[in-house]
Amino acid sequence: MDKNRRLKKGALLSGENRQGWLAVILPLVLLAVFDGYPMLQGIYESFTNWDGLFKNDFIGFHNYVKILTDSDFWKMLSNNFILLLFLPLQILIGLIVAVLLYEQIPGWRFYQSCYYLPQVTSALSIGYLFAILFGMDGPINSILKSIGLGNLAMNWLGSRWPALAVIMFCMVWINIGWQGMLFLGGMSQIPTEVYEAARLDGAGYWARLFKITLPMLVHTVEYSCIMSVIWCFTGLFSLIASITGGGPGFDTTTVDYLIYVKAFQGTSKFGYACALAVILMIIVVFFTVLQMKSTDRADDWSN
Amino acid sequence: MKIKKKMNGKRVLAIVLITIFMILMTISFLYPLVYMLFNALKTKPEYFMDPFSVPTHPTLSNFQDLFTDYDIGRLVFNSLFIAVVSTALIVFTSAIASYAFAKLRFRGKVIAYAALMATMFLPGQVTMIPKYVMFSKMGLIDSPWAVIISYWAAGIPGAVLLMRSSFVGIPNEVIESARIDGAGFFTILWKIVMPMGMAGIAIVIIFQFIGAWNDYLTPLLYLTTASKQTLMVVLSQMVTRYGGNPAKQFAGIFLSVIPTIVIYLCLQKYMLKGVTAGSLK
Repeated sequence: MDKNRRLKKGALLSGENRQGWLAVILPLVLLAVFDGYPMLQGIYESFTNWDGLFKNDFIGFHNYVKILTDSDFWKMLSNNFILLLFLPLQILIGLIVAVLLYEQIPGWRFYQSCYYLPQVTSALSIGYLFAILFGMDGPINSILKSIGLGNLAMNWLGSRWPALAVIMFCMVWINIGWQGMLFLGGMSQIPTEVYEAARLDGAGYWARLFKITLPMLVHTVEYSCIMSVIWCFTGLFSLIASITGGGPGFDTTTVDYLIYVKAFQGTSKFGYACALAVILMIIVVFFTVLQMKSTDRADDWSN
Repeated sequence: MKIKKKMNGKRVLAIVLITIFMILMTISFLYPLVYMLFNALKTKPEYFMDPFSVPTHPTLSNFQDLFTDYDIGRLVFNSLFIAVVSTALIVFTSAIASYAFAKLRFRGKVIAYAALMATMFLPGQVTMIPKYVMFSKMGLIDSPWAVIISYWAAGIPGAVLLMRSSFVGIPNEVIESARIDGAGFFTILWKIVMPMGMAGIAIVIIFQFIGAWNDYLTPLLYLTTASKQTLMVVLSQMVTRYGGNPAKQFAGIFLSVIPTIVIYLCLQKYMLKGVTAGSLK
């Protein structure tokens, strides 16, 4: 971390030590108070029957047993994993977009900024838009009917699989621009001499694409996988709330959405919801560590 | 970035095919916006007659109803207040810390930095309920400050990550010579580090502001009184209330997305640079 420092050691050091800590103490205290402490409390409360008001008794692994033996929980967890299928789609389309944008055809900057639009738009608004578009009397069904595919028109959000497909489609749509930008950024890091040399060796466009571009984008793929997995397990609340509201029943409820429902909709099952959150945290940390381990990514981030 | 390309027949064909693909994709991103606007300008019967037509008698009545049913000015002010104050807090605390992480030498720096970064991977769900109870004990439920403090703490790690990487590139000689001239910590930060690291700061400001404006869950949890709500929370109420009237729903959704889209259109040059900032190392 200090490799490009050239300040002299000596008298400055002790003052610098104090100054350095004073400068970083506020963020550290904030995070200790609003992340560290609540996290520990959350883990503790996951072993209680806490309801925020009267009950706060230690009940051991009761919540966990209840969750892990509940078939509804497994269904909701499977929803998270099913929705994760958006990731290969997002990476494939993002890659195509980036490779084509790299050709810098006329107007490429304009196209690129359009693809990024959903990233600056609130997930809630996008979700409501999709809910209307895929509604029973919505425009998607009207289009299907008008082009003679009326038998495909259906109540998209009225049953589990089509509704999950709509949510997944929406996730891909939201993330294409981001993914394409990441790949394009990665491609711009590849020195042009590499391409030049390959070209002189007689490598055609496809050979260059598969032998140079794609292998050089491995890091970008890793980064977007980590970010997207975290998003898919912890960041879908607004989208689920607006597209399906978790319904019908609990058919499209994901674990992160369930935590909100258990804690804040009607019942204050805080202890139970904390246990759900701890399980979610274990899953996310497991995936993140797994992905980072496989790539030594952690090293890169700490420099 | 680019290898020179010969303009032969094959290249022209490629350009044409790519352009067709790009335009189709562009339509998929722009049409929903246009569709929303067109239908927001229609009456309910006109929408149900043909949801795809251009409005024949464009009317602002949907928007007018929105403004009579809800105190939109108040909501925009609430959203704006929360977004501006939380962004400002994040920028100042993160700038001070990032300068220290990038340019000062102190014991335990690596550990402090790692601790800060680790919180980025902590799912918000784990802290959500204890934080809710903590804020209610502090008497901050139904106060914008609960939301602001929440964003403040949550935004710092990412902001430090971005700012530190843009401060590291500032030559040490500049800072050293200012120090020899007697400049203190804040003078150096304010006069040298922040102006020279503006690229990173700008990205933080834009993304934090947009993130705060667009967030739904945090204000939903902490704000209860109607007059204190943010636009996003009220949007969900609008959509339910106007359930049978998509034209009005579209007006509400359109209103909610326009501010951030306008910001994006004005500042996209900075923003698109920021997207890749975290991934390139």
